[in-house]
Amino acid sequence: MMIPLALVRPGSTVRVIEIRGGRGVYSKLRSLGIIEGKILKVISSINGGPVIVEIADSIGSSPRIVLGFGMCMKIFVEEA
Amino acid sequence: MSKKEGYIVALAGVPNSGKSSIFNKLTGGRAWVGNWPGVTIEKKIGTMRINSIEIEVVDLPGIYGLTAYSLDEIIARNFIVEENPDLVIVVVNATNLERSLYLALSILELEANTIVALNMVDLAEEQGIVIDHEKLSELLGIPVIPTVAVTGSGLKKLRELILEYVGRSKGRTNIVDYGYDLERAIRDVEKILQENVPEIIRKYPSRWISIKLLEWDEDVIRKVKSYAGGNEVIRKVEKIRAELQNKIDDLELFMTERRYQTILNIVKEVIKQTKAKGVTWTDLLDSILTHRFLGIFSAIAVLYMLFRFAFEISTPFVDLFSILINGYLHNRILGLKFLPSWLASLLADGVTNGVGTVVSFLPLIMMFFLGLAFLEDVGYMTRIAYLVDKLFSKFGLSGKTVIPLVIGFGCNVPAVMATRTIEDENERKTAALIAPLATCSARLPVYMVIAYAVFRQVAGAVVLSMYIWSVALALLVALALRKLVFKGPSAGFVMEMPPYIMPRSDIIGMKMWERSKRFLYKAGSVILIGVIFIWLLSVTGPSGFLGANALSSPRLLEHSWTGLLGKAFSETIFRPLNWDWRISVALIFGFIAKEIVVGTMAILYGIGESGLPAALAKLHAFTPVTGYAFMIFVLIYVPCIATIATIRSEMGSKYAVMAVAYELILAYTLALAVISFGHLLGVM
Repeated sequence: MMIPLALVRPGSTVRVIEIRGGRGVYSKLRSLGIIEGKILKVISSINGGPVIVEIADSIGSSPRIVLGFGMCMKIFVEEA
Repeated sequence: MSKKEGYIVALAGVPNSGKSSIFNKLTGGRAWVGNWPGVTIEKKIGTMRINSIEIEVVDLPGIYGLTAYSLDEIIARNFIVEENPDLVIVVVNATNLERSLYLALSILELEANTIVALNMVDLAEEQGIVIDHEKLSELLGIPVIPTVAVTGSGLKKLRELILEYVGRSKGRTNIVDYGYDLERAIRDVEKILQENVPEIIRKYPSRWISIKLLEWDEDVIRKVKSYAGGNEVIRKVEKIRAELQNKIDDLELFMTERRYQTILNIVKEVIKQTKAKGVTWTDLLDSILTHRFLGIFSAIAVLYMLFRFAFEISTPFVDLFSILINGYLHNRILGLKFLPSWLASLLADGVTNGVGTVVSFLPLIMMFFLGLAFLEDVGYMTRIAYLVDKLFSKFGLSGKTVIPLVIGFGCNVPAVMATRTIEDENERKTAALIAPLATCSARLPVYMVIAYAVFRQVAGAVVLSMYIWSVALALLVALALRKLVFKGPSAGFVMEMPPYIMPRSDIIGMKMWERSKRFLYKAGSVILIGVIFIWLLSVTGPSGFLGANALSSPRLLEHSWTGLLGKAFSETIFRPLNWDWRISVALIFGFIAKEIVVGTMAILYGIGESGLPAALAKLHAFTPVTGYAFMIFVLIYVPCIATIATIRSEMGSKYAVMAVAYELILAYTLALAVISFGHLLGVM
């Protein structure tokens, strides 16, 4: 089932299915390495607030990325 | 390398790649800081000298790619395509090759003469990542040199490479293969460019322009349209795009994916992960420090410790400074018999006391910024930004704004400048305008004096309440500004959260000095002019020159322009607030800088600063209500002219006037509200 990243429980690992947003949002996420198909690990989140993710399938270590609530409502993911 | 003077080298890199450290190491820390044309994004230029050849190093903004969506990225790519630097050094973060390579590929597509500094290889190895840099160099087709900027390892080699490669020309690269259909389309577009706008491909790489046109990059479209025949090209490209979209529905996404595929192939070949990822310090710390409840408590505790650290360590130095400057130096100048008395007074009472009082805060500011630089470099401030983001977003700000605000508790001038890191234009302007509401260290002595004079036992709580007001008002004013002036949706909040590291003392020291320097510089310029002006108004009056000792004589001062001005204020606009003329004068002087307020009151009440609280209490200069109103007023109204000057230079005169206007109106209204509330409760 596809849900927005904002609603994912911390500790889960999810796959990015779709990014719904303007080209600006899109390109920004992409340049950070968040693109369709990537596996994200949700490290921590605040209800109705930002989410910290890590790109789980990157080679080497992935720095953590903080995504604001608005951003997370545009990233649709699926349990991986 | 040909023999030519005036080489320009551009330094590019993703945020947190250690680009600034490389810049500092190459240029020896000597940099000229300005703005990129038309925007308030910082441009740093330094010079490096190798074998008597001088090379200018331009630090490009930290970016992830070269798209047209972010101002930083447009600036960087325009610099590369328009200014044609003789060499581009891409600083690549070895702990996260994947992300850094996206930028490197984008720069290679620009056909710039490029070398790679593979930085932080030590950290990568600690994490079990070993990179075959020779293989990487082979795959990218450009030199790659491993470096550790903070220790200087590899820097000598980097200099040699710069010398060797600077000024070389670079041919076209097909580093990314976009697949059969797109490659054909790229060739078609190149041919169209060749036929219709040959000038453009003499100036820019034609493959790059073609790729960008197919991606529908608005900035490049604008560029092409500015040439005769450009509109024709765009029409043809639209047709090609329409045809392609029969096969590929999202061209831009497809092209990004091809680039990522190229990166993944490279990464797989060059990286050997020797250790599995284990639980790191960062994991452990973050499980507490970014916890939704524990995190908030930790943040409050950490910030409290920052203040305590700054105040405890600096107090003896501040005292020493003020004894040396306001006591010793002041008296020595007055004692110089060869100076005419007016000049001695100007130098001693005006310049030394005025600027000296401001400068005596330097140790406090330095300690505060030292602690803050430590927290920033450890990586903690980004955690605070994360924690407050939800709250701040309700007021139209993102969590990033917390950093300028915290800086503002030290000094508002660097706080206004720190808003530069906020990408969203509306948000940045809002942040710059609310930064003065962060109650800076100069306002604290005013609170202390009043609190000890009138509130005694609860003085601590009363002073603390000012800090709460400060944050609350900053957020509320931000909300008003976002609703009324800087409208528009918030840009999405995205921020990298680097792993915790033990910062290096020289880097922290440099950061601390950079901010403290701004404070010092402002004290020496704007505030100096301000105090001279006030001195003039104080030693003269309607009857002419009152004598050089006017400033130490409350009786004479009463008849100066300043005294009259104070009376005019206390009898009219400040009348409902019940502040006498001396307090009014202190507030007028405080317009220059808050550091001057306490000193002025001491002079006007004819008493030393240390005895001031007792004297104010004895004279009943303030009731609890008028005292609290005074503190509120001091919190809100113009922090100092230096801050206003900074807002002006960052954003223009219009916003500087706006800042002054809202601060004065808000300060007066709230002070009046405190008084009215006091009346209501019957305490006066």
